[in-house]
Amino acid sequence: MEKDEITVLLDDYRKRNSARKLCLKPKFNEKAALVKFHPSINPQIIEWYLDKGYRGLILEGTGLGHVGKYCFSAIQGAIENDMLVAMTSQCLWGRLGMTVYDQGRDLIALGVLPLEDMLPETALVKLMWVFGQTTDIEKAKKLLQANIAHEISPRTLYD
Amino acid sequence: MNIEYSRIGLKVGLEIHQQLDTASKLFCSCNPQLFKGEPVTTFLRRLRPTQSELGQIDSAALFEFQKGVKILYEATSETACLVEMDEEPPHDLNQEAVETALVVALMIKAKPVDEIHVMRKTVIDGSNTTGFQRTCVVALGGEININEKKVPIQHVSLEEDAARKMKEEDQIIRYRIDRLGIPLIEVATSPVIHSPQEAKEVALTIGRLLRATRKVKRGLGTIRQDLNISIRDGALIEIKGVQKLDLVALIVENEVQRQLDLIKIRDELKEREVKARDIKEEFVDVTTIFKQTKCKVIQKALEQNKRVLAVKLPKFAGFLKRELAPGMRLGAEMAEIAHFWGRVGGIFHTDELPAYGITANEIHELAQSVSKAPLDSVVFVADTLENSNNALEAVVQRAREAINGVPEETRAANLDGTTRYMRPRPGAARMYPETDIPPIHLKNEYLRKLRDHLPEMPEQKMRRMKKEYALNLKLAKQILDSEYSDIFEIIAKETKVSPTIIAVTLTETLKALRREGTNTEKISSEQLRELFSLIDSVKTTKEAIPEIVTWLSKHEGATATRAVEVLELEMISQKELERMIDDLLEQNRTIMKERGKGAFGLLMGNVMKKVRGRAKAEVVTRILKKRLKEIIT
Repeated sequence: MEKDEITVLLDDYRKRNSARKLCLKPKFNEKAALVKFHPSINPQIIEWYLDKGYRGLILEGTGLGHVGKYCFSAIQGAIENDMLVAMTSQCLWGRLGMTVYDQGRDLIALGVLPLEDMLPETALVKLMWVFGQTTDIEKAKKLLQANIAHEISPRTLYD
Repeated sequence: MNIEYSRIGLKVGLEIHQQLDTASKLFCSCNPQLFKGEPVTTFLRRLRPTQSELGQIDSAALFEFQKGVKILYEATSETACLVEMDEEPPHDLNQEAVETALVVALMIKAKPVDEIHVMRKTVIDGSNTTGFQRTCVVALGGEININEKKVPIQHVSLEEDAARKMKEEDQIIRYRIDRLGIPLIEVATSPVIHSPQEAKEVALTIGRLLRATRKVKRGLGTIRQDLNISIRDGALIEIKGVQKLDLVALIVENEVQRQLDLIKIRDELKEREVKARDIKEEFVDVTTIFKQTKCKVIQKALEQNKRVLAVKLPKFAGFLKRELAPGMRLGAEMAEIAHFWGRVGGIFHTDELPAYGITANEIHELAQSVSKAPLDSVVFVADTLENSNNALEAVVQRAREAINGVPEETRAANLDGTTRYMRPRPGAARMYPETDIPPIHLKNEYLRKLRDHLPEMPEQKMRRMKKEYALNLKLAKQILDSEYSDIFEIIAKETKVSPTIIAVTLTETLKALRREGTNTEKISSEQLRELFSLIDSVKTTKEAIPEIVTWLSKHEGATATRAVEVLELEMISQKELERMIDDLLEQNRTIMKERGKGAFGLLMGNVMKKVRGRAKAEVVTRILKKRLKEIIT
């Protein structure tokens, strides 16, 4: 802000809808976790979360959204036990591209949800909120992937 | 010249590329619009030859690389993101575009593929930041009907449009990447078209089909037709980028003429017994001859320490200046090829000299230095040694090809119906899979849904419009081919104005105004609807339409009501009209006395001129007739 002037930085800024009625949805479910992939990570961490009754897991993958193959069976186990597993990127300003390499395609085939350019921390808090709204995993998946408040930007710009 | 196309074995195939009017681009979420004005960002790239996934190096890419060509891309943040810059993998294939292509495919009874496989097609002119164009076949087969004849369709595909070239200066080519990635639908026919007129009709029919989807862009540059043309003994020539339908027939005619004349030159060269090995790549440096030249082009080159190189084309005299088709000569073709391979501005040849300030004396010296015989031709260029060498090598190559007749090549269409050399025809193996995008399976259930909701076929729509709105055939055709067919139906339904008047306004009136320089594209559908509702409620008349439309074209966003106010085109009250007529009759008493009832035509004309469309002609007629009768009797 400069001399009472407001500069809008978003190119798809949504104005407040004054006709809309305020509806508070404050419920959170804390059974969601964030796991950053790094070489030598122990996949048992994922199993531990599953054992402790966690309902959702945000992975912070490398590059376009990858984790080492040795984590696949743990991820598969989690998904088969109705855990929601979603991917984000650990790259600054990064965006997933999970169809470029086999690793990504395999993860999608396992059922990992790609979250485009959503920040890992944002995704974690959003997932907690999502499970505060619904217990249905299919509904939760849709809600997590929906762009509610600019947590996803469809385009990456160069500046 | 009359050519019997059936006798020369003419075969034409059409490829129609039409930009789709989707919400975003084919492989990202950018706005598929062009920007005006200055770019916000530019970035410089060089083409580097690398092995493709199939292990080949493109020889043309290698050549451009060796020439040190750089490409400057221009962008704005609304129209380009990292995908266009090739800094990010492509996103998913645009579903809206796929659906539109499928709708077109189903309309022509083509068979959708089971899986859409996106492919990469090598493009090395810099018009794609990636070095390839993404393309995918959506359906195969199908047919369209033209005058009882079935024209088979080979395939319906989706492609990303390329960046648009803005400028070319020395080593730097400028491209704007706003157009890059705009979805294009491609419909390709089999080469079964046998006359220029038929080519035009096929293009028209496909254009109508595409527009029936209501998902295509409008205006110049949004549709581009490629023509594949061959005749017996000629060659397959691909002509790219025909932007206007009206040019299709002319371009086919010109290309046939060009090939016929090249075949004639081939025969004459044979008579002169010219052999390919006689045309030698012996380039003579003739710079010293032009040290004192009056030729501005050469003067300028010599100031920059460039050289003049010459080559002899044995027994070619007369052929270079011979007109092949209107506006196209073999000499000009050589210049275009020399420009492509040597980046030279142009070539000189003895067929057209003396001219350009080059004297007979210089020509004489030039002839001596290459030992030119009377029937020989000499071609020379003034540029850097490397460029001149490349250019003359290309000229020699083209001369050798003339001995065999028509060389296969890709040509580009000019706006006047001529064509120019663009590049050699690419090899067949230019396609390889796009590895970033997985194949897309088309489900039967989805296709069934689309098939159940296909848009009205154009012929069907025309018949319906004729019947429903009592339009004559010509008008029905015109409105169908115009961009106003939808808005026509809306207006015809929501007002009681005669559909014929609406149709005439939206076609002939607007066309006439365009010809006078009115930018009718600025008129919105809303403005047109309002205009006709004003006519409907007798707030203004149809006679006032041209003036109102012209005003609206200059006042973007203004209402038709405002136009009527500003232009004072509100309907004149009956009283006022009667007063005006009385005044006029008063002024023309003598004429009335002389001509009696015969003065009606003249007086009517005067009244209508004065009311400028603010009164209905039938009302004026009624009052005028009545008054005239009163006065005369």
